[in-house]
Amino acid sequence: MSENRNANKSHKAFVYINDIKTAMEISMDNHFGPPRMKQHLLEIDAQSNLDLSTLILIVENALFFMSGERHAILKQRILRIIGPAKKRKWDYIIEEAISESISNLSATKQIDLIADFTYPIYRNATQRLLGISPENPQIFEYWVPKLQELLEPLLPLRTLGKMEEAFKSLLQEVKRNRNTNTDMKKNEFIPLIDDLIKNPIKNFTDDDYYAVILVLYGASLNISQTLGNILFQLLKAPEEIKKMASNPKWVNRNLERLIKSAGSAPYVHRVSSDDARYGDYKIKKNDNVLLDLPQIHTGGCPFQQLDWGEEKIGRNDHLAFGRGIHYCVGAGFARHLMERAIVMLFVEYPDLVIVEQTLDIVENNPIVALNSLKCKLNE
Amino acid sequence: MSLKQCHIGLSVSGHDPAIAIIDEKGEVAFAEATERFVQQKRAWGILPDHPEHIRSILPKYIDNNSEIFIAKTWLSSKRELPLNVSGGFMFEDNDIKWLLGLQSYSFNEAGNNIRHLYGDKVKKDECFDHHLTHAVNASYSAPFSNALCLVIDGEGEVGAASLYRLESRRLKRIWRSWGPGSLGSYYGLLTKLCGFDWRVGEEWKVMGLAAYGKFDISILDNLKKLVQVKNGKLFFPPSKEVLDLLVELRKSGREHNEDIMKASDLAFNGQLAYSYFLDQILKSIQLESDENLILTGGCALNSAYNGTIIKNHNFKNIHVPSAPADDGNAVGAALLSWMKYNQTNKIPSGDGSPYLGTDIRDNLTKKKRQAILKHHSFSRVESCIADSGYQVAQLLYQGKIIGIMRGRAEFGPRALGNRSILADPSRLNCKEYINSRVKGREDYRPFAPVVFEKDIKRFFDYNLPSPYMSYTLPWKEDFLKKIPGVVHHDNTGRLQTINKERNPWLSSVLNEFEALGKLPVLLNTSFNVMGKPIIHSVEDAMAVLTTTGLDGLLIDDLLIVK
Amino acid sequence: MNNLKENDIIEFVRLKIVERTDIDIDDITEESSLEEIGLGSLDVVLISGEIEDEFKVEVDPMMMFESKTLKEVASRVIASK
Repeated sequence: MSENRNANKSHKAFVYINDIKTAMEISMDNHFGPPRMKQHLLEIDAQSNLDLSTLILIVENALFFMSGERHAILKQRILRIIGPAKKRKWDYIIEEAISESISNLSATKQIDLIADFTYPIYRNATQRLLGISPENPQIFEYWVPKLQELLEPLLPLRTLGKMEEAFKSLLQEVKRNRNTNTDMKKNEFIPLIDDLIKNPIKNFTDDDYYAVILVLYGASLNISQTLGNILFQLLKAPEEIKKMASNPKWVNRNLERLIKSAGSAPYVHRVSSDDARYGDYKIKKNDNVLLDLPQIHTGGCPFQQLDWGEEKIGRNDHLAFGRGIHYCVGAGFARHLMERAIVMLFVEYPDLVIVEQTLDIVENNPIVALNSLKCKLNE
Repeated sequence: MSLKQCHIGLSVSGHDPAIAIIDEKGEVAFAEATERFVQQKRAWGILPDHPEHIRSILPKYIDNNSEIFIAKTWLSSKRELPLNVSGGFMFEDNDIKWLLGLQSYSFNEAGNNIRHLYGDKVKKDECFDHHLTHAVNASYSAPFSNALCLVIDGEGEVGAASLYRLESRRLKRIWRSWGPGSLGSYYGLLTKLCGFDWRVGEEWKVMGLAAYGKFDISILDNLKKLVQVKNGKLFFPPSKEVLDLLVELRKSGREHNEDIMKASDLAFNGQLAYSYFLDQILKSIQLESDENLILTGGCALNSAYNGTIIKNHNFKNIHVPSAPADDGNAVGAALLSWMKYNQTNKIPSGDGSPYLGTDIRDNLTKKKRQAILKHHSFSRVESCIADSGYQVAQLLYQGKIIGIMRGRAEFGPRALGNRSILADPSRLNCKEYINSRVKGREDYRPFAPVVFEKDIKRFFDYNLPSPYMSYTLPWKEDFLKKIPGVVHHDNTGRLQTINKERNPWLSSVLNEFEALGKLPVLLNTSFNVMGKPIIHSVEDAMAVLTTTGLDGLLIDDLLIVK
Repeated sequence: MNNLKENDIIEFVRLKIVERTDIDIDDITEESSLEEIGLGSLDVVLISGEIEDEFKVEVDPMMMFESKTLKEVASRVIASK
């Protein structure tokens, strides 16, 4: 997979990093910044007849493309609301979303863990967290995954044009249907969008906030995808391991290892601001440096048979959430959601088995994930 | 005079670069700010081992057997730090970016020119804590071995103040301030509000202007809110509060092109607030009376404040080094390198001489001397080896204004008699004349007096030796009318005290001057024109002589009179 | 203070975080990271200064950024002693 990517884009300086040590160092080194996507889009906007104002707005408010003071302030604000230290404020949202999905499962005979479990949990929990309730869920859900494509460097103009149109309506959807829950109960979690609009940040507009939550919603799709990959691995695991998946302590202890081996983000993209030399890698100023996460974490394929021998992995021993100042703001939320979803699923259905032998992997998308994961209850 | 061990300190702040050499005995062999050589004020963005500057210095100290140790005045490139500990609201964002960029460049690149010149003679390249280099430099020249040593500047590794204790010449840090709270930045902001440019060091202008202002409680109150001092440490209030305060303060400020006196009240109260902040720090650090104080860092250049310490605090002795700002750190870093090499934490004790720079005798070659003697068109050019002091005193007595370029250049911002312009301060209008005809600067700017150390009590209210012009003291009333050239608008003078042992030549001038029936006080101002650093070469001095109203010039023993 | 204990440092930092944020002390554990809590760089800088004063150590500014969790911060502070 990584070889293909490599070959496709060899026309400009792309450096693929395949070892964790270098990848960690680069993540912590502020000579490597996010791709200058805004600049890139502005240039296209100026030189072509395309109007990319919506995409530019999105990119301006996507933490992974931001840097400097604006990035720091926004990140800090978001973490103060949805960060792990506020877990007690939002964890009931996750519990409710998981319970609902599990109760829906029992009604179905044939289960698709992606469509029936990981995806609805992601959708319901994240929408409540951020304050989104789309009027046209189907159209909305169709376009949201495309947000992840914006991460791809050097998209063709035609795609950009299509995305501009789509995101314009997505943004409208988010705005029009904001969850303005007026009769909020005491202690109920105040969604991120409401908090941002109520307590504005200097130099941010309401449009910025809507773009922020839209981006966060799109980025959070990784939760569903990674959780799906984790469930696949657990279902494929030897019986004694699979049995442990209903044990909260075991899941807690092994969560980082599961995330590392099942993360759905394919790479972290950085641009070098200087010539640098890292071990065998020679990096030039303005090179695109891609930290190839599947290579770094699993030797290339997250769907291979795992070696379940003892391996202690801490939160900083992998790059599934990135590292350094662009560390994922949703990491705390995602961790808790996945941990609870694994435990609750296997407590309820300890005898789940995969029914299909061939993997239904997402194609043509810069993501490492499953389209579906068909299971049945082993009777 | 080649050295086996040559510890070269490089000041790498990105501004005020300087180079210093410590010999194997732990003594300063040489120290000079790069601005002197390149003749650009503060030498922004120029490396401290400027290729031509080092070629004019190092061959004297380095031969085939020398080993070179390079020492830098920062531990890290500040731009690399993920944490923002920089100047905060006091500077514009693009100023901060620029400052960090220059520091990063200087930090990363300094030393390469020495390495290019001397290759593998360079044995080591080390970096030292910024405030520690300040403290070591100041302790080296301190005339005592035990003291509190306070470093106050624009910015250190993590903040803008550090307190050390010097005990038996060994330094130990007691605390340091973290975060952007900074008196250096405060004064930079004040400079800007007064319509001056901190970039070229116009803080002096604020200090001078302060004497013309009057007390204004509302300005003072607003200024006082800009910095909070807690247990000696400095904090800025939240930026929103600051923005509101700035709106108010701008009303008393001035644009660059407006009348200077418009900002005098702001300058006066700004200096007052600065004193208030520093007084709070000093009060919080002095736990015992009878303690010595070493004050250093860029803020120690505030001579107006320094002169009030003796009155308002209970320190036994005060020492401010000749180069307390970032140029001086080159000495501190080189000393630390020497200490590390010799495995000692005891700081060597220097003789306190500020005359550490280029020796004009190296620059005034035989050829240049002969050329001047042969081709000049002045009324008088002569060699006066034996009695140059007498000759200069005579000229001063006649009302002449004479440039002096003798021996080694001073290290630090003040001209202390070796790169000075001297005049008779008793003459009416001499202040205005020198400001307008010689230095080309604003007519309110003050000039410093030179007096004998033994005469301090005769002229001033407090007995505070000031060999490096570190203090401004109030004149005794009797003298205000007698020496108008060196009395500032607020009846003070930033004095230089001299004695025969340390300043034999300048003492001889003052003696001869007194013998002519004058008060033993000379006017001493730095030998430069406005906007330029103090002169460095014979050619620089000749240029000032021929393009200004200067009457004469002494280069080494060569007396030139128009 | 010769017997610097990891727990003392963690407790101290937890209290300092509570002073600067609206976070309940119980929500800050030794596994919490300064960054994820949503501390701004100025908060981190000022807390670093307070750690220095309280425990008479010198904190390396890089360390506060690299160390993710309170526990890691504490062990680095002890190591720097």
